[in-house]
Amino acid sequence: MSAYLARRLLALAPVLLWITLISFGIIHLAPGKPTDAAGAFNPKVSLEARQRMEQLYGLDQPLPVQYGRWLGRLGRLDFGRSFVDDRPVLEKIAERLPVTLTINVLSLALVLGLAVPLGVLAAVRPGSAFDRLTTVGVFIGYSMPSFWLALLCMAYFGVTLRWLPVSGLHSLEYESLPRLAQGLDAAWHLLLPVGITAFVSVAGLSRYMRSSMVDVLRQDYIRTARAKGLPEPRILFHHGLRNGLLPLITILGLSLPDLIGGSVIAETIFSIPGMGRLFYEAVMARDYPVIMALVTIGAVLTMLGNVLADVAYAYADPRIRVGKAL
Amino acid sequence: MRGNKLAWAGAVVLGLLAFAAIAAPWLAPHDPLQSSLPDALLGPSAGHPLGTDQLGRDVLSRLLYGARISLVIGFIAVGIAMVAGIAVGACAGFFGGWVDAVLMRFVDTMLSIPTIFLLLAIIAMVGPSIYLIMTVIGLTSWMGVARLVRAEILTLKEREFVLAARVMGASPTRLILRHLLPNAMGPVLVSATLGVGGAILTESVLSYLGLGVQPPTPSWGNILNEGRVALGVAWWLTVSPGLCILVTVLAFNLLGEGIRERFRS
Amino acid sequence: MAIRTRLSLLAVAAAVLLAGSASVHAEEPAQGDALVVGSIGDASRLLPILATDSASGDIVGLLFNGLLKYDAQLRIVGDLAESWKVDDGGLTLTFTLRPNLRWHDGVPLTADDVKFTYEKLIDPAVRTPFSSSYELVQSVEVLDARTIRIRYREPFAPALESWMMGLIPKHLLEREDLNTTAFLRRPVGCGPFRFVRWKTGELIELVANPDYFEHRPRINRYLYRIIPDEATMFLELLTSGIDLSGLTPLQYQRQTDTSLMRRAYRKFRYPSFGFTYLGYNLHDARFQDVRVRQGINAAINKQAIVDGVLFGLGSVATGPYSKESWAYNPSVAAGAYDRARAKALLAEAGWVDHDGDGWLDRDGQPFRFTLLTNQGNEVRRQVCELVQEQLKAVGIDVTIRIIEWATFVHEFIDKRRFEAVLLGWSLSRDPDLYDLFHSSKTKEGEYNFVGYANPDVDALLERGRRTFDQAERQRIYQEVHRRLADDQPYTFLYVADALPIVSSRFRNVSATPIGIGYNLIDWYVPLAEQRYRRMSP
Repeated sequence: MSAYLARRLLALAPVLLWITLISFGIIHLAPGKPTDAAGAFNPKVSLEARQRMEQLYGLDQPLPVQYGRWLGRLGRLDFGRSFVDDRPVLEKIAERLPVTLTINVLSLALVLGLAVPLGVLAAVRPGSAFDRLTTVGVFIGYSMPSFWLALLCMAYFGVTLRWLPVSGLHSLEYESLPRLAQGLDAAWHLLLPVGITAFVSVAGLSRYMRSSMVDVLRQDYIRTARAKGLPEPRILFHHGLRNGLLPLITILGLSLPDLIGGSVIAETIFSIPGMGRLFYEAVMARDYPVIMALVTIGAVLTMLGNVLADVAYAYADPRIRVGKAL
Repeated sequence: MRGNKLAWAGAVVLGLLAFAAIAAPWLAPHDPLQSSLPDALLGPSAGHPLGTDQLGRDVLSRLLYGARISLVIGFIAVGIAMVAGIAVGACAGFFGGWVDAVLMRFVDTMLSIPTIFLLLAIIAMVGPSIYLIMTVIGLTSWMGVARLVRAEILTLKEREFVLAARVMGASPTRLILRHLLPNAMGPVLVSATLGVGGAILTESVLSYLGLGVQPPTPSWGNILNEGRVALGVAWWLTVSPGLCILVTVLAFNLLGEGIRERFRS
Repeated sequence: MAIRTRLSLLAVAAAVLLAGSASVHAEEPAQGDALVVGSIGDASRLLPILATDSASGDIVGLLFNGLLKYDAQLRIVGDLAESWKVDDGGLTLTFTLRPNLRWHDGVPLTADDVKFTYEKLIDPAVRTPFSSSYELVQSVEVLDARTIRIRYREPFAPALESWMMGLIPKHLLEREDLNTTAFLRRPVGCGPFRFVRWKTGELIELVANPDYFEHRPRINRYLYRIIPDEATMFLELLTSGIDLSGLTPLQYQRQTDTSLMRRAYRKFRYPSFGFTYLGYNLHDARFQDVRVRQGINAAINKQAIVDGVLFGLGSVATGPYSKESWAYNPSVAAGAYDRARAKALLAEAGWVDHDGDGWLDRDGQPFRFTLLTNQGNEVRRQVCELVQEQLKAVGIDVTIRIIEWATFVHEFIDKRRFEAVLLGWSLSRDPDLYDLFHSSKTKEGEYNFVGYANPDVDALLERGRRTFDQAERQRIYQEVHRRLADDQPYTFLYVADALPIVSSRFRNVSATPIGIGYNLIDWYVPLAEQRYRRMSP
């Protein structure tokens, strides 16, 4: 097992290198420079001033040199400084990570809490009215543009009913509130973002749970258990669910990178300073150090997530079923 | 069968949609590109069943023409994804060994690069055009298909009819094209159907970011995007394109699910 | 006799009434409350010489002061400088600072800080893009703690405006690397507001400076909320989540007219500084003929654009200056909208619909061009579409292409790969247009990207920069205005109005040529209407 793990991890290194190389290439192919925001089309900024700024950022060096430098710094885990405000990239990421993690973890909890029971119940009674209703319900969630839902909810709950805040993470008086009120204030602000993020994912996961459970419940060992006269809940939870949850492990492993990835649209609409917006703004501003850092970290997490998922699966099910759970 | 009912509902909706899209020039009450500033932001009325936008253009007409754009983008993007995905997946699954290893590494690499980054960079580079958007959406969604096809081929490879064909001396190409792929089509079809819905959603996201279909050509995504800022005063600009997207993608998803159920049993 | 008595009685009565009403309205401006402002972007560096984005600029403007500033009527007045002199025909500027100026940490502000600011502006290791305005400075001499003398190599009239740059504290920054110092995120200035905190991506909080040399701002706090989405920003305005924001013409005209909005908010409008234009690539053979440019000018109904896209909230531009500018030439008429005249001018240049297909052509080639503009500007896009329609009516086929900003600048503007563009300039108040229209400013990356070269205009622009005589400058720039209107290197379209909206609980807010923020320190909210009381003062 450990040898397998070691081999898998080792194989990741060249892939990671490729990913960084391709990303570096792509972002530099895109026209535009980080110094544009500051200098371009501002009549007070002369051409010489702009060129000087480019020099100061090292942007006049040939591309392989720039890549080599970045790689060298990466070896020391130094991701460099952002071009937008000269702050260390890791500092900017560390600032935004907690918010995104909080929203994603809460959302994941909500999704699991809703999707698993929904999927299981639908599997237990396939073809029933409940099954049909939930199918259409979750499908509607799956099929709508999430930002559309966000806008409508914001307009209705925020403006028309005034039940929820329109945007932001905290009220303006947050600092002067007592501890408990602060927690409630934060929760109140997170209600819509977390809710909408979760809503869209519930569909996919509950369908997955349902089909996985349907498969499991058709197996012989379930029929045997029934024939043995075991109570239905025990069959369901002890025998059925344990196996039905296995594919979930793969999904969770594959969603590891998503935990740190924010939805740029949700964050923009709700004015949340998260990782999604960080990435989007970095791409628009050609902030190369930040882009490369996020791509690299994302790639590492994706690959780790894959390995973890495979390992966990192999651990839980000795007969590694290749290629089934996709 | 229950699954069939919903799937049929989806198919019917899609049929109507296709009809509306094709018949748009005859169904649309106005020219979707004709602006008329004095008529800006009118609510739904007899002359304009779904109101007008900021430039006074009829929303219903724009939605009908937008259906064409959305469907075309959906189908062609998925087509590209299918071709690429099937090619890579079939080769990987069939030949195995180092071919499989290399191709799957490639798939993994592509999967690790964030989609939005690719979309932004490429579209910013070349400039948004319908063809580019279709290609880019296709090129960022073929990986799942590849994995799917590979898995199916791996399973099918060991079946009797394949062994029989092999013994009879069929060439690899013939094996793949005539024996393996047709039997692997089930999941691929499901994936394709679901993929069209996904492509339509992706286009709306791109339009929100300003990188989708460019005005004045109407697409549901950009009608939604343009209507955003007038949310307080012109709800029809937000609600109607959103509903169109919802209903269409829902139909594709229900249809796809139905096909999946069919292939299961 | 009786009439005169009655009249004088009336006069007395009127006087009493007026005095009475005056005393009812003359209340002591109350202290307190907070002003919440919404911004699409976050700031990046809170240092005047590095503040390149508008959000940083907004905050820096409240934290730091320069030697000079513009007053409500756009006249140059002293800010930190009590007085100044221009000698030797503009080669020497001498500023005298006000007495007892202090930084927010209590340290006195002196002429050394002025010299330090200048040194950092021209320091090649500092990543400031603003150095070009100071290139002609020959020396900066501290004469005493409150007096500083600046000598120029050549007279440079826009110099006065360049000394509106915020001063930076020598005692805190002399040993720091300005590009990376922590000061950028925790600034100490001398302005009406002091820095409290910055929650990145969310909020910047400022508090009133009780020792500000004019007087302490009446409003206690200034909160800058970062709301990156326009739709969300408007919804926040509707729910009083923000007190001040800019409106689009559509919002001003159609979305803020409910009785609720009118009670809770006041809208203002004043002409913005800058203009929107259609720029021609003057190296393109078709656009080299001035009759073609004048023809297109006549084919575009600019008033219709202002009325339609801006809902009338703007005015047609006849040249590069708005009516508020002292350089504006009132005798230059806007090219009248005249389709017949347009067709005639184009025909003179050889463009006639020979083959009857609805498009003008010459030598077998139809008149077809691509109009480029940048992504993200809704109003500009609508203007493009209208221009496209209007030119179609005279037989010119226009294709619109909308391009992401950075790409637009690098691939199309800088490399001169365009036929026509629809853009806007946001200008400073000084009417110097050297960088835009002088024939020497046509290198890649410079701003005369249309390629305009008129030796007479060149001479005028050079003279305009070198004299400090306001009357002469006015003559010069008015002539520039006339020449540009005749030559049409751009077709000047319109000057849009700025449309700020402010919560009505704030008093003393008024729109002037410079905007509404010039007297921010005098805004106040009567005690009974204050909203944000829970925040510590």
